[in-house]
Amino acid sequence: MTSSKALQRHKFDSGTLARLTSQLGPWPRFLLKRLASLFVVLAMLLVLTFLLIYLVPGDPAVRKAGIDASAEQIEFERKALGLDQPAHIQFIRYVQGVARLDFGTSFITKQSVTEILQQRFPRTFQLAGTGLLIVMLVSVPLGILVGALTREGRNRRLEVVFMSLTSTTSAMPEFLTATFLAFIFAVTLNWLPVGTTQKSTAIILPAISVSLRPVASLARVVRLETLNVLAQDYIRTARSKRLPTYLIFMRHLLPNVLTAALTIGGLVFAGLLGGTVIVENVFAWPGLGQRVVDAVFNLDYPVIQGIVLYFGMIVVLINTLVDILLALIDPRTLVLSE
Amino acid sequence: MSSASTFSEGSGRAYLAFWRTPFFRAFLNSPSGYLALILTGTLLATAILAPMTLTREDVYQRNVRRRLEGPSADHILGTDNLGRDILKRTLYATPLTLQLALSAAGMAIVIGFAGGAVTAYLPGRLRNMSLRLIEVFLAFPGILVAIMLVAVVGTSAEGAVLAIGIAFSPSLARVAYTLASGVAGLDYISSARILGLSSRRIVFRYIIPNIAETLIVVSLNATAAALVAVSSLSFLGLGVQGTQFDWGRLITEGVLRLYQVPLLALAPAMAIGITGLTLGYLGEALARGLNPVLWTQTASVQSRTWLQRYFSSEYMLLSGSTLLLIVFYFLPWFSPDPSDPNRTLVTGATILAGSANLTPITIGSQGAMLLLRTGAWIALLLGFFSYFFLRYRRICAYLGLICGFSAGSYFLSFLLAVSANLGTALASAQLGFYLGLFATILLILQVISDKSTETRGSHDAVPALSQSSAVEAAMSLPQPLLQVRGLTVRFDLESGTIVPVNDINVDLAEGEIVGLVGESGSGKSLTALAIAQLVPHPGLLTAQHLRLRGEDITTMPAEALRYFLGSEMAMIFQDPMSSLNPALKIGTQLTEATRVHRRVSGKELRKMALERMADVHISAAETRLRQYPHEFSGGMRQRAMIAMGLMNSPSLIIADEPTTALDVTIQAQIIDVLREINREQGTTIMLISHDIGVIIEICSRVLVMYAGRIVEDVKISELMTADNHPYTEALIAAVPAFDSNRDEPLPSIPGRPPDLDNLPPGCAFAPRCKYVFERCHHEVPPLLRVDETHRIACFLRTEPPESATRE
Repeated sequence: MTSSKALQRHKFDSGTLARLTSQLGPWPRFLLKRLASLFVVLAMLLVLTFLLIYLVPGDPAVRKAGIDASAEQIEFERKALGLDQPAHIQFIRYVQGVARLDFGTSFITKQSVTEILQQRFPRTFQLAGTGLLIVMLVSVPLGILVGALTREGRNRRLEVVFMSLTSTTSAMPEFLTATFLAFIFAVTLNWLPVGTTQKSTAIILPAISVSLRPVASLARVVRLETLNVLAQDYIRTARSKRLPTYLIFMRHLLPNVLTAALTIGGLVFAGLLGGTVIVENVFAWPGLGQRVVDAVFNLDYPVIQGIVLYFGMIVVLINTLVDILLALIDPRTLVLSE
Repeated sequence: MSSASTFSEGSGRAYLAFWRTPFFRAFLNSPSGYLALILTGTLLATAILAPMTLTREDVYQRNVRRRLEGPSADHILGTDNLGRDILKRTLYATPLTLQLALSAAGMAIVIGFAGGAVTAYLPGRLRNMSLRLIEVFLAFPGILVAIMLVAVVGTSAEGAVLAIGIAFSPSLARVAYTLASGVAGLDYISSARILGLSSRRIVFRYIIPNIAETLIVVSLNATAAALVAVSSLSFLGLGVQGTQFDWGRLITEGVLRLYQVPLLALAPAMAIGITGLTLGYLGEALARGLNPVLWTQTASVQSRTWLQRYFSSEYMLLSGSTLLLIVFYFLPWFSPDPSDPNRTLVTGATILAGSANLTPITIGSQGAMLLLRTGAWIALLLGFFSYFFLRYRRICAYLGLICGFSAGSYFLSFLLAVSANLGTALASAQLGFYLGLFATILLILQVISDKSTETRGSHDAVPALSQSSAVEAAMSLPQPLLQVRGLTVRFDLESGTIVPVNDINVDLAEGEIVGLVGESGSGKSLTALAIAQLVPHPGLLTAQHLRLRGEDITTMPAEALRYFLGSEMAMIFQDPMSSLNPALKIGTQLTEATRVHRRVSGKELRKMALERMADVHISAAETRLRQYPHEFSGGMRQRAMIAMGLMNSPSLIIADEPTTALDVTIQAQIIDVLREINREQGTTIMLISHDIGVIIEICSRVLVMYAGRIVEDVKISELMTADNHPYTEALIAAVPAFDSNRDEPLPSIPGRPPDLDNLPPGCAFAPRCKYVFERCHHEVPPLLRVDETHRIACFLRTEPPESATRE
C-alpha cells in the first residue's frame, strides 16, 4: 500500500532528490534528508569561518611574521599562508585543509591548530559531557517527579517552590553561578578544589556551574510535558488496563516525555557548550574555551577558525543525532518530517 | 508618577490618575509589580547618582597600605588589590554596565525585529532560506558567535556591544517573524484591509497593540541576556578595556582573589544578579499591565487590599524569607562602639552562632542583643516553615515579618551607631518597635477577617446524601454480575462541594447490554470511571458496596484489585486516536495487559492477539500488530481498542461513547462488533452514550441519568409504551425520525442543562419539566420500582397528585 503511494508521488515530483528518495522506505529517506541538511549547514559554517580572514582587521601576513619583520619576510609569510592566491583558490585550499584535519598553525605559539584541538578538546569534552550527563540525569527525573506530584493541581506549594527555584536558577549566568559556587564550596567550606585539573574532584564545581542553568530550564520543560502526557487519554487507557505504575511511567509516559526533552535537548547542549567557554575561564580549566579567548586577544585567526569550526561541527552533529534519536523514539517524526 | 491628573473621581470617566488606570492596576496586581517599581527606581537612581556623588578619586585613588582589606567602617565592603573601595567601585560601574547592556540589547532588537519582519514578507523560497539561516545561528551558542565577532570588530566596549547586538539578533528575528506572520494572517487584519484602512493605520491600530505585550517581554529578556553577555565578555577580558570598568571586569579582578576578599567578586556578581531580577520582574509586570484581558479581572479583585494580596502571595513569602536569609547572612556590620580598637566584623552567621564579640552601647543592653538574635532566628524559621503549613501560613508569615522587622531595625541601628550619632540609632530602634507594633495589629486584623470568611464559607458544606438503597433490597435478579449500591462521587473544591454522581444503585445481569444515557454533564462518564475505580483527582468515591462477581471491589487491597479488574473488566474510550499511545506499536498495547496479568508464553500471546483481531474483523492482523496507531484508520483504531479490551476475556466491558468520534458507517460497524461479542462470548456490556438512538439500537435495557442521579431504569421494549420519566420522554422526542415533518423545528428540551454548582433543592429536572407541580420543588424523588423491570424517580409516575393527572 505504501509502495503504491510512493510510486504515485514519483510520477508527480520533478526534483531528482525527491525522485530518488521516494522509492526508498521511510527510514533511508529520512536519513538521506537529514544528511543533506547536515551538509548544507556544514558548508555554511565553512564559508563563515573562512570569511574571518577578510574580516579580522590587519594583515594576517604581518601578524604572523611579527611587527618588526622585513618586507621579504612578510611576503614569504603571505605566500606560505596562500594569501597571494585569488579568493576562490584560497577557499578551496581551506576546505581541503579542513578535510585533512589541517586547520593551519597558530601565529603566536606556532603550534598546529589540530594539535591544540587534540590537547584541549578532551578537557572541554570532559566538562561538557559531565555537564550534559548531570543535565539529563537530574532534570528528566526531577521534572517527571515534580510533574507526577503536581498533576491535576495537586501539591500547589511544591509547584510554586519548583517554579520560583527554577526560574531564578535559569536566569543566573554561568559566571555568577561559578563565582558563588566557588565561594561557598571552595573558599568558605573548603570542600572542593578549584583552579586545578590534577584532582579528580576538580571537575565537580565547573560541571555543576555549567549544568545548573540547563538543568533548571529543562526540568521545567519536562515537568510541563509530564503534566501534558499524564492528562492524555492513553494514560487513562493504560490505567484502565490495570498496568502496574512503573509500567505506566516507563512505557507510556517516558518515551513521550523524552521526545519533548530531546527536542530542546539540542538547544540545551549548544547553551551548555557556550557555558563551558565562560566556566573554563572562571576555574582556569584548560579547555578550548580558554584557548579561544586567548586567540581572540591575539587575533590568532587560524586558532579562532579552528575552534569555532570544531564547536560548530559538534553542535551540528549533536542536532543530527537528536533528530535521529527522536525518530527512533517517536515514529510519527518520520512521517511529520516529510 | 505624574500627579497632574489626580483627583478626578468627581468629573466622571475622563481623567484617571496614573495609578488608577487599568494598566497600572494590572501592573501592580502582584508583588512582582511592586518589586519591579522599587528595584527599577533604585537601579536608575544609582545609575544617575553614582557618577554625580562619587569622584574619580573615590574609585581610582590607590592606597596600597590598605589593600585587600575586609569590610570595615571606612570601607563597608572592603578594598581591592589596590586599596580601592569595593562598594564605591561597584556603584560607580552601574551606569556604564547598564549603558552597554541597553545598547547591545537595543541593537539586537532593531536588527532582529527588522530582519524578522522583513523575512515574514519575503517570497516563499527566499523566506525559507533566510529562516534556515536564522535556525542555524540559533542552534549555535550565542556567546561563541559573540566571541568570534569580537575578534572581527576588536576588543573594546563598543566591540562587545556590536558583537552581542549581532549575535543575539537571530533569536529576536525568529520571535518577530513568528509574530509578524501570525498577526498578518489574522481575521481581523484582513477584515480591516477589506474595510479599506490604510497600511499605517492597520499597523498602529491593529498589529502593534496585539504584539506589544510579547515584544516588551522579549525585549526585556533580551536586555537581561545582553547584560549577562556583555558582562561575560568583559569578564573574559574581551569587553571594556583600559581604566574603564564594568561589573564583569570587576568580577575578573575578584575571582583571582576569591580566597582573600570574596566580596571583591561577590559584590559585582550580586549587582548583576539583582539587575537581572529587576528586568525579569519589570517584564512580568509590564506584560500584565499591557494585557487588556487582565484589566477587568484586576478590577474584580480590587476588593482585597494590596496588602492582603501581598501577604497571601506565596511567591512573596518565599522570596521574602530567602532575601532575609541572604541579607542577614552576608551583610556585614560592626561592633557599634567606634572607639573600640578591636572592632570586629559581624555577620549574620556569627550572630546566629552567638559568637559575635559585640559591645552594644546605646540601645544595647545584653537583652537587646538577645532579642536581635532570637528575633532573627524566629523570622528565618517561620518564614521558611510558613511555606509548608498551609493552615497556619498567614500567621507564621506575619510573625516572621514582625520578627524580621524588629531584627532588621536593630541591625539598622547598629549600622547607624557606627557612623552617625546616638539619636539616630535610638530613633531607628524606635522605628523598629513601631513597625513591629503595626505588623502585630495587621496580624490580628487578618486573623479576625480569616475567621469571618471561614464561618461564612462553611455553610455551603456537603449536601446530605440520601441512603435510599433500602428500597433496592427487593431487587430480584439472581446473583448479578455487577451490583452497585450507593455509589457517590464527590469533589471538594475551593468554591464548594459538587456531587456529579449521587447515590447510584443498579444491578447488571450476566450477558446484558445496558445503555447509560444522559446529556453531557449528567455524570454518566464519571459513573463509568467510578465503577472502574478510576475517578480523577480530587474526586472522592464512596459506596455501600460495589460488587463484581460477588467481590466487593471498594474494599479489595490495591494489588489484588489490579489483578481482579485487569482480567474481569475492560474499558473502551471515546476517541480512539487519543486513547491509544502514539509511540507504541498496536501489538504492544494489545498484549501488555495480558502479559502483566497472566502467565502466557510469547507465542501464545501472539496467537491470542491474532484471534482477537479477527474477532473485531481486522484483516492482515500480522502486519497490523507491528504498526503504530497513526497508521490505522479511525474505525480500525476503535476496533483495535475493542480487541485490546477482549484480550483477557473480561466479564464486563464498559464502553464510554465508543462511537461518538466516528462517522455514521463506522459507527454501525462498531455497534455490530459489540453486539457480536456479546452474543458469542456472553460479555456484559455497559454502553454509555448521549445518543439514545444508538442505545435503542443495541441495548436491552437503558439507565437514564440526570444531574448525577439515575432517573429511570427501563427495558428498551417498554421505552415508548410505558409511562416514562418526563426527561426520558423529552430525550426520545428530540430524536429525529424518518417520518418527522421537515418544516417543523426539531423538538428540543427547553431550559438549560443542570448546573452542578447550583442544584435546586427538589427534583433537578423540575425547572425544565412541563408536568412540574409543587412537591417537585421541595423533595428529591427517590428511584422507585413501578413494575418488575421498571424503576423511575418521578412523583408524577410513582405517587401522582390528583391535580397533576389532568395536566
